[in-house]
This record gives sequence, C-alpha cells and structure tokens, in this order.
Amino acid sequence: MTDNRESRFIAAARAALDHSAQQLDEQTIARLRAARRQALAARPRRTTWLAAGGLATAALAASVVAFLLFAPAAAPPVTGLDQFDLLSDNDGLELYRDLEFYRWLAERADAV
Amino acid sequence: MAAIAEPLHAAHAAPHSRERNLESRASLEHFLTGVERRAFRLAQFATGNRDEALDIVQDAMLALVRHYGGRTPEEWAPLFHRILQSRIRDWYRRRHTQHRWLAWLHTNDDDDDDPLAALPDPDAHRPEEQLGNTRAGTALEAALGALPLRQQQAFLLRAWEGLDVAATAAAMGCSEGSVKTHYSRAVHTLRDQLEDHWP
Repeated sequence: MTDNRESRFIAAARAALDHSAQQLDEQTIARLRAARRQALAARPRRTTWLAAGGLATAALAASVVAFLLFAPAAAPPVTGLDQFDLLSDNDGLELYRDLEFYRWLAERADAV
Repeated sequence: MAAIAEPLHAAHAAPHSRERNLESRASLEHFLTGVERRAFRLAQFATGNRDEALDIVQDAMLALVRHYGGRTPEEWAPLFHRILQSRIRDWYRRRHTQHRWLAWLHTNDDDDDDPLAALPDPDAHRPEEQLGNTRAGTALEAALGALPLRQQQAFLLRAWEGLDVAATAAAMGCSEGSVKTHYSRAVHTLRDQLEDHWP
C-alpha cells in the first residue's frame, strides 16, 4: 500500500518535472542548442606522449598514495591507455581522482 | 607493391572513417539533445540560477565530447551525469568561498554604497524561472529547491533520470548506502510537503 502510494507520488513528480522541462522558454532552449553545437564542434582530446608521461607519473603517485592509504586492501588497477587523455588538463585530473567510478563503469560495460 | 597498396588502402579507409565520425557525431547529438533539458533543470534546481545552470550544462557537454566522445553510447549517460554532478559541486564550492569573502567584506566595511552588495543572490529563484503551470508543479519545484543538495540530486537522478542506485552513486561520487539514505529522506520530505497536492 505504502509502495503504491510512493510509486504514484514518484510518477506524479516525474510528470510535473517532464512538464517543466517541456515548458522551458525559447531563450533557454536556444542557449542549450547553442551549447550543444559548440560542444559537438569541439575536437576530442588526443593522447600525446607528453600527456602520457604526465599520466604515468600521476598514476604512479596515485598508486603509491592508494597503497599507503588502503593497504592491505587491493587498490583498483589503473589500466588502459585510453585513460591517458584524462590528465591532459585539469578536467581530466579532477575526474581521474575517483578511480572507483571508472572501475564501476568498466564493470557495467562488461555486464551489458 | 606495398607503396601502391598503402595509398589505396588509405583511400578506402578515409571515407569509412568519415562515415564513422559522422555517425558518432549524430549519436552524440542525439544523446545531448535528449538529455540537455533535464540536465539544465537538474543544474537549475541546484543553483537556483538560470545562467549558472546553462554554464554548468555547457561545460558538462563540452567535457563529455572532448574526453568521452569516442566511448560507446551506453557509457555516455553515466559519464555525463558524473561530469554534471562534479560541475555542480564545483559551483557550490565556489559559491561558498564567495559567500565567505562577501561576509568578510561586510563585517570589515561600513560603506553602505558597497557595489558588491548589489550582486544578485545566487539562491534567489527568479519569478520567470518558476516553471510548472500547475500549483503542484510549483510546489514541487519549491520543495526541491529547499532540499539539501545531495538529497535533491539523489531524488532527481533516481526518480527523474531513472538511474539505479549504483549509477546514482557513481554519478554523485558517494556510496550506494548514501544514495539510499539521501533518496529516502528526500522522498519523505517531499511527500510531507506535497501531501495537499498528491495525497
């Protein structure tokens, strides 16, 4: 009974939120469209050997810190050269901090 | 022979590569088009400010394309929400620093004409930004805006975006247990406050 009421509440809330998203003003919609086009026009970051070297150093440092903090618990391994571009700027560094997320993402991809 | 074969191979590969790029770009555009309005609303609930929310969404889109455009489409949603939540947290940290700085100025400056005092309150919701045509929708918006950030975002990601507990935890950078707690508290508070509209 409680679950049914909660389900109805969630459904009503979702409908109200969908409605609010559909009722955005024209200016906001135009700015979102422009933001999307600008993002799509951006070139993907390419891995450079300089960035790869930076990542290798940072990954080594992160591994040491993780080992010191969490030993004897096993730290998630840093694998995959495709992660190297993460350290090519500050955005990548910020995202790279949470290695657990990438492990989760990899597990999720394997499960699909 | 190899010198001849190589250009031929390249000539055949190039159109395929272009096709793949166009296909990938079309898929990315489809994904971003589908998520951009909800992402904007998520950021707007968090910041209470349309311009700040637009900046956050634009930044998240750019980061997704630059860093993860080559990933499979199935990975884009969790990555995008991860980036979006990270940007929202950054905004909160900056605002906190700014508030502390403004508070310090306020206590150390007796000048009533301080131009910084005229800065808009980032917490203030503009009347024109109060979306939702129904009273229930408006009440929901107000109640969501008043929730603590983690509860608010956990509710929106779980109930609206449809992310499961694990995906929400990954996006928010916290444990699954924390997501369950935040979500449960959010639902409890919202149901209490919206009981008159949705009994």
